[in-house]
Amino acid sequence: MNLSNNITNFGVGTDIESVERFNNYTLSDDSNFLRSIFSESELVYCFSKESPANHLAVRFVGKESVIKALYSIGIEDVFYRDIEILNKSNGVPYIKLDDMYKNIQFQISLSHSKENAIAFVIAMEVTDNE
Amino acid sequence: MSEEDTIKKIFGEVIGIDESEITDSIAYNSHESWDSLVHLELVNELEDEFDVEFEMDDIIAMETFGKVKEIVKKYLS
Repeated sequence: MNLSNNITNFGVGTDIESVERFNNYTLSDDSNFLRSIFSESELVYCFSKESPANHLAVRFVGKESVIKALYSIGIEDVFYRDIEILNKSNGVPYIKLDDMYKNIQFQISLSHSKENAIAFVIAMEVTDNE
Repeated sequence: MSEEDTIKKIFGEVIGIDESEITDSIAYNSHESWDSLVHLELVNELEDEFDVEFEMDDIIAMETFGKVKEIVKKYLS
């Protein structure tokens, strides 16, 4: 985060979900459903893993958390498919959103066990000092 | 099967309740099975069945079974 920016508003969001609920989704049988929530990049990433359910679940709760955080600062028109949760080369997750929301910066933390996936998001509305 | 019966059948299957127990007032997040993931599954099943694509505002507005029926019918009219 660029600390030269002023944070004018912020919201938080969190969510938890059972990983088991994502066990039976497959790209072949649930393509429309999965693509209504996840981007192509997210699906490629999740289904490249040995246990896609963990990665689908944690991205789902991440998106829920983003929606909740944005909703709390009055932004109500962002839905699952608008949000991408990707990983930096060092594995740290980050949120990619349409450029129209470039005044919003996020911090996200994701975690999952065998049973559950959890996410915590801070959404910060910023203005440039310059 | 009428459109309303089809909506009720899909709703019962996705939410996991018997069709005889479905009333218009059953509400999102008040019925234990109807959470955000199930809501998206419901939307997907309805879109597949009726070959429609709901707007985000309508997906969010489907807060009760009564509203689900009303919104689906709007797209079919």
